Amino acid sequence: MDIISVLRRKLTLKLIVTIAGILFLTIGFFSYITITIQKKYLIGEMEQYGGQLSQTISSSIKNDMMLARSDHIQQTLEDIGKQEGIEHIRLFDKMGKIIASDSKGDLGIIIDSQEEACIVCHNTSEPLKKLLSPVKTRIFQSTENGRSLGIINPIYNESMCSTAECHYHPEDQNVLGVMEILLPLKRFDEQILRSRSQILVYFFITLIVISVGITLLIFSFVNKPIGKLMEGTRRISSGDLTYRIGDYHSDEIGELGKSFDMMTAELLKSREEIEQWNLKLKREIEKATENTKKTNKKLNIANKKLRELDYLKSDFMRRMEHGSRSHLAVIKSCLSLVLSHPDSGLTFQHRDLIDTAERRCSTMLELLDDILLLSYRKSFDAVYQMEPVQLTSIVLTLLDGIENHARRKNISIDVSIPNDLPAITADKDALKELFFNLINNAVKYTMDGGEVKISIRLDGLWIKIDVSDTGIGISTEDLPKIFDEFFRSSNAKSRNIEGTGVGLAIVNEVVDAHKGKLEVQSELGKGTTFTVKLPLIESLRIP
Amino acid sequence: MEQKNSKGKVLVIDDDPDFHKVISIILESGSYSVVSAINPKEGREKLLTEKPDLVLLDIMMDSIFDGFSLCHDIKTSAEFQEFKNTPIIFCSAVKKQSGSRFDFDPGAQGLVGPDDYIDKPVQSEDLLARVAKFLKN
Repeated sequence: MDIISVLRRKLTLKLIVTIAGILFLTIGFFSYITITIQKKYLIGEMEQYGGQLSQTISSSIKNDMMLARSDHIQQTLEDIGKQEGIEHIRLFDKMGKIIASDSKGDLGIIIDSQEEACIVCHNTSEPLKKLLSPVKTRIFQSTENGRSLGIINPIYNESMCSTAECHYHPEDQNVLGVMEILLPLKRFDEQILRSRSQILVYFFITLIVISVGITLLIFSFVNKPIGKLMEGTRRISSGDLTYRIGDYHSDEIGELGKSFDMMTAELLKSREEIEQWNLKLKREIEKATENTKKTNKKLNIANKKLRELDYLKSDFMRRMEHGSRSHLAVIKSCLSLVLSHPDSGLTFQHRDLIDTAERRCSTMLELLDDILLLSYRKSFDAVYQMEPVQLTSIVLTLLDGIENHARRKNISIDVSIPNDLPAITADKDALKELFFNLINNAVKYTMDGGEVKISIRLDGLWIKIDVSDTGIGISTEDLPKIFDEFFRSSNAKSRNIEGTGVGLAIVNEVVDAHKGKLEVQSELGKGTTFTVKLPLIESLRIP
Repeated sequence: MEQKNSKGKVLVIDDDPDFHKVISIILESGSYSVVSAINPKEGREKLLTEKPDLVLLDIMMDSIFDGFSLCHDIKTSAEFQEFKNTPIIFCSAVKKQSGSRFDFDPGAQGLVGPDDYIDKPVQSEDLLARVAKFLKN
């Protein structure tokens, strides 16, 4: 059982309880009023009847009282008291003594004036002389037969009473005694009780009828349409938008059903529109995807062409390098072989010429190497494989190759590297190119017997490398141009020192690629110092 | 050209006849006998007929990677089974560390590479030292 159906049930229950409450209050109120009025009316009737009866009896015994025939009076009261609907008839004298009664046993009994039955008139020091109404009534609970109606009728002093010869009453005595008639209220009470029960039964019958009616009404006008609405909600939430309530009542719920159907129809319309849009969008996406595919295909073709071109370029470079070097290699080998032969029979002049040719051949080969290297370093596809590199081992390996040259020129190379130098993140090959060029230049441009110093040290998060020589130096005018490609200082050219003018351009390129710093200090004729600063860690590089 | 007290026989495969001339002088000065082949095809033939102790192989001949494929064949194919362990030295005018960044790693092309490299122009002492390293006995 779901929550909604419980609530629905509760709604019916609530309505019934409310209506029952209202019915109970209204019917109860009206019943109370009706019963009260009825009771008052009936009591009034009884009182009137009792009063008349009392007057009749007192009239009928008046003569006997005048004649003081108490046995007659007694007989009369006994006769009347036998009638149905009369409980007691008793006659009291001034002292409260029963002087006549319908039952003989009561005779002579004295009732105290402060008794419950007498107190009404005898509550003051001087009892009432005259009643406002001819009779006084009271209702009380008699022991055996339920409630009773008591009617007191005072017997007033009359002229005949005081003047009669027999046993006349004093003239100033106002009330001579009272007659009391008790009428049983049993039947009257039963009647009232019956009326009450009947009203209660009617109330419950009415309540049941109304409850059933309301339940049926709610079921047919509320529950059924709400059930349909709920079914509709369920169907819609499960995606079925074709469901319609239909069959509307001409009430609010009917209106709700109508609105619901309208809403469902709108939803269906919207969904169809969305589906159409989706379809359209899907088509657009397919179209776009198709276009992208076409573009990709074109790009792939272009890419392939570029790769082919790149390959052609590399192929060209290889062939150019191979072609040039092959020839130069053979020329250089031939010249070397001639020169190395101990008894070639050459004149000094011829030997000098061949030596020059061999030297220029070597320079030509160097130039070729440097140009190829520089063009690679400057190209977009230059790859720098950054990895932890030990600078010490690079420099020491390079020195192995350069030291022969230095020894021939009697140049001392002084190296100062701390033992605990940390590794730096750099491209190993590029660093080799960098330091080969710097150290090789230092040796090349230093005169015989000179000195080259290499000093590496830690400077904060940088490694600082100084390569200084006691060489020919660079003039102030030439200094700004030394990193330009193919630039050679006039000083170097005038001293006929072979060079390509490319080495420092490569150095500059490599330092840049490592986001390092490059400085040069030089004095003509005294020497030059190149300072390279490389960041220890790649990420700390200056952007 | 075989010498009586030869230290070993070297097969030189190169498409440059002048290079053969130069290399022969150097090798013979080191008491090695030299066999020349002017292209890969001749190289293959001479390998089988002359049975050299060492091969000096140019890389770029008729096509760019001639040397690579010939080296791979000598090291792996059944035809040259008996020369599987014959030392091969690449001798090329394209430097191993060169700006053209010629992919000098035959391994990258799935090929078995040589035992050593030597750049042209060859230095006499350098070449003789390298050859001697392989032909000690």
